[in-house]
Amino acid sequence: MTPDEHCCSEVQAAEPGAMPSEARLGRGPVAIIFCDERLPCDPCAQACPNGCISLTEPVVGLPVLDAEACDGCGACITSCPAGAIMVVDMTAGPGVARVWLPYEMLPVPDAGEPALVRDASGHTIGEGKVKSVRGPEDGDGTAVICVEVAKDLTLRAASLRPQARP
Amino acid sequence: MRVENHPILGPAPQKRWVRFSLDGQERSGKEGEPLAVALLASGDFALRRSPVLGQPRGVYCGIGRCSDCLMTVNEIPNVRSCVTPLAEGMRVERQHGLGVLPEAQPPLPTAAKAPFPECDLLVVGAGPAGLSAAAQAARLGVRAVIVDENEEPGGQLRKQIHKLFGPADFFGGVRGLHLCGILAEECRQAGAETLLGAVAFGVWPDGTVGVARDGRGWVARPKFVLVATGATENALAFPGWTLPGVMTAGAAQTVMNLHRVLPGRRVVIVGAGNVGLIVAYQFLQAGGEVAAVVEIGPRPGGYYVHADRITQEGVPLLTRHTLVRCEGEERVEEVVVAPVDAAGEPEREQEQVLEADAVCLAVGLSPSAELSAMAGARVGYLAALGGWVPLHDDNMRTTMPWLYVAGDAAGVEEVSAAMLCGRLAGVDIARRLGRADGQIEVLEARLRGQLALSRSGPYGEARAQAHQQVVEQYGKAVAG
Repeated sequence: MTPDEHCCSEVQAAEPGAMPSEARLGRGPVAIIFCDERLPCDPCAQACPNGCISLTEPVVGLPVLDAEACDGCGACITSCPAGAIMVVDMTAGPGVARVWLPYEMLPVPDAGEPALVRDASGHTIGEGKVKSVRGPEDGDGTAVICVEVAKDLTLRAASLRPQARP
Repeated sequence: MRVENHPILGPAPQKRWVRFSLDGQERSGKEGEPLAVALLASGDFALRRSPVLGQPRGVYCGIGRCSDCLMTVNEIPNVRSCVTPLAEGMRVERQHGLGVLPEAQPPLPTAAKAPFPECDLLVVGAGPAGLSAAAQAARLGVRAVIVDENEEPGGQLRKQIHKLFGPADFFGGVRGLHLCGILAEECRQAGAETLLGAVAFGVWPDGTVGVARDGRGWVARPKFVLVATGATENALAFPGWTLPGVMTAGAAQTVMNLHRVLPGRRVVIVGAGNVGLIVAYQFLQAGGEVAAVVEIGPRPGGYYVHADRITQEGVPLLTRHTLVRCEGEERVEEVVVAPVDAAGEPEREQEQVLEADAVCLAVGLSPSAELSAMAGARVGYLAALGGWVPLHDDNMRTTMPWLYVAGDAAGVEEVSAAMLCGRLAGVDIARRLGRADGQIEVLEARLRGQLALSRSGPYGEARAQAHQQVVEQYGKAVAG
């Protein structure tokens, strides 16, 4: 059985609290937080060096990103226990964009390697190229992989699988 | 299959290889690892045969509770292979039926020579609740001793290699296994003593505690006892559930995350609560495959963000499905699942066969309330807390005034609540011993605030209400 055949239509992927505006996306790297349940958890709000992430109520509120103030540094990516934060940069070049995703699998790819990019339901939506790898040591075991992908795939990217060169 | 490299745990630690025998055939494994783990790594899944039907049995709970892995080791029958460290030259036999005692019987346990360490508080269980209680009490000047049957402190938190949810100022984002080290260090700094490899086998209504260690026994008489024995994973019966390869989710975590062996190449996980979702992710991290996570409800019981993590890795999450049966001769070879109708019954004509060699049951936990009940504490049944729990006040004191409970043994919930309840109990015990100072009320108010937060939100409210009911029932029990 492939993921395409499985019947989990009622299992919706978490939605971002709010997508950054087109104008904000056009100005460079910015975080997107896919956390839509009120869980007692706040490391993301504490991790942001610029104080851009607030909660709708203490600890158990939903995270809200001030996208205008966010500079896309990515400090929040590894703070999320569920890996539910990514950073996108829609200004990386003509037709391409970059996405920074948390990664806790093996193998950890090297910059320059190709990687398959998958959406929230695990379908491969395209191929990207790893541009940089941070960690996993400085993310307490969570690496942050920056991958360059076609611009139209960027906002659907949810995970990646390195494709080591033969 | 051994997990040589792991994204979170790094390379497998170097250990000495030793040789042992299984039914006269040579095997090898790593010194000190559980015998059952060495056998799993060697591809030996059937560890004994059942007494009546002669069916194969394998690792099921992985922590010495269920007796499915009993083997005959060096002529001694009924040895729990999942908690028996492997040693050079062990003679291991698959047991058929009940086992036979050798002619020359081993010496019976005797009383310990040295008396049990003097203490005000004896904590049973060195998991997050017990460690937190002991550290908190000891910080306030209480002489606290913790006993735990395992060789390392931390309880089941040691195999929780994921980052924990919670506020950043209370270990949110810290991996469970790292938190064990933090809590054990808190105990050490506060002066709480931890006795490992020590089993508390009984707590009596007069306040005495039986403790066994290294074949010797103690009768301890502390002023207070805190039971933090955690919880037991629920079972689920279906045709084929006794086949080797079917195990609890916790057993898989023990084998993969503590001992670095994959319990199967391709697993079906039953239950999409947080435990099932996390174990699915951890299977992928250890290099295994997840054929499916099967959930009878219309949506995962766990957090959506956890569910996302496995669906985005391509793991099928089959809601409104159930496991119908496992097929296989000596171990799981195929798993049959089917969607359920509105009444929860499987729709047989829509059965699907999944190729898998392991099944993990993640169908909830029940509080381990045995010692508390044995001690005479009144219990009450609260489904939201996992079943029978010792009734207690909001300082975790049971109807036996010298007996406290904390953690999953007082009602199954998140680790942050377990730690906070442990700390609250530690504070109350210190107060009753006259060790309270002017700061204690400030501390207590802060702990209660943190606890209320940890039980807020859509997932915590039912537990908050259930705990309120426990406290109310406690009030009635002590008044009546």
